[in-house]
Amino acid sequence: MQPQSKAARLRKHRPNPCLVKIHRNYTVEEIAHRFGIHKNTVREWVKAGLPTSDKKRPMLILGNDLSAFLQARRARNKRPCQLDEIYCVRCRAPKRPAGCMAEYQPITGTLGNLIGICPDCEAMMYRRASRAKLPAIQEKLSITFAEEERQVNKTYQPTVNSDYRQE
Amino acid sequence: MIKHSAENERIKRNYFAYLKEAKRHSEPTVDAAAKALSRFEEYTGYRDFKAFHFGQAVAFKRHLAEQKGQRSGEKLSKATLHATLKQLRAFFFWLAGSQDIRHVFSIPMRTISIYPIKRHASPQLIGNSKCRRWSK
Repeated sequence: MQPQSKAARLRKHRPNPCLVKIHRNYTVEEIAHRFGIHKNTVREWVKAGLPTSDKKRPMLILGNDLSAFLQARRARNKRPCQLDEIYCVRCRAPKRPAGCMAEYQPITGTLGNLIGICPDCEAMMYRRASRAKLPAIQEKLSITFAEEERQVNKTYQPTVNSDYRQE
Repeated sequence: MIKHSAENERIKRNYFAYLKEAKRHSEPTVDAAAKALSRFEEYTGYRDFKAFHFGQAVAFKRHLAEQKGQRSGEKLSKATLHATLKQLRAFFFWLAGSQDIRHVFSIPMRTISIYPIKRHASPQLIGNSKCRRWSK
């Protein structure tokens, strides 16, 4: 069995509501085939609240209902962060960093990581942040710059494997 | 609020299978039929297809001619009306002839023929520019 590509795995775990036609109806097998998932997964959706057309067999699911169900699931799984919040992977919720403090670690001239500590579980939290949005974030959080500190402390170690000839 | 008729959904399903497998229609054509049927059902309040009456067809035809397109905001074009009604006509012909429904479908086939719309509309009904286009 060949390993699945990342795109195929994503397609399986995050079924796209746009693949469903709203004026058509589907059986469980058809939906499973369309998304490349198991039939029992679709039956789980029905148990979780996906409405069926009636009680008869084969079970029919309206495209309109299926699309709405998948869209609602997607929306439910979203955890949008406010400007001063970072998503805590351990708590599975957006949290304001402890002490309203965060560290900005630049990656490029315009982009960097915002690093904070979760106030509840004390785990590290990371978020991408644009340099242009930093002034707005700084109004709500006190931000320290990682790169500047490193230069002040002189922790930068030059490599010993140099190609230059010693004179 | 009723949003679908379970009985109609099963009939539609059989019809789409007939279009795809027997008539060898492409997927977009079947989609067009699905959309036309959806428009008709929405107008009739998801009434059973078996309760079809020619008066429904006449009223729907007039209703559709008054509808406005979502994007343009203008009335639906003649081409859209023609395509929708053509699909509905084909569907009801199929329904009248299908085995499982013939005994309950008391409407004679000739009343279904009320669906076609004139391709060449009179100048009073459409603007002059469109009239020129149709007359070419």
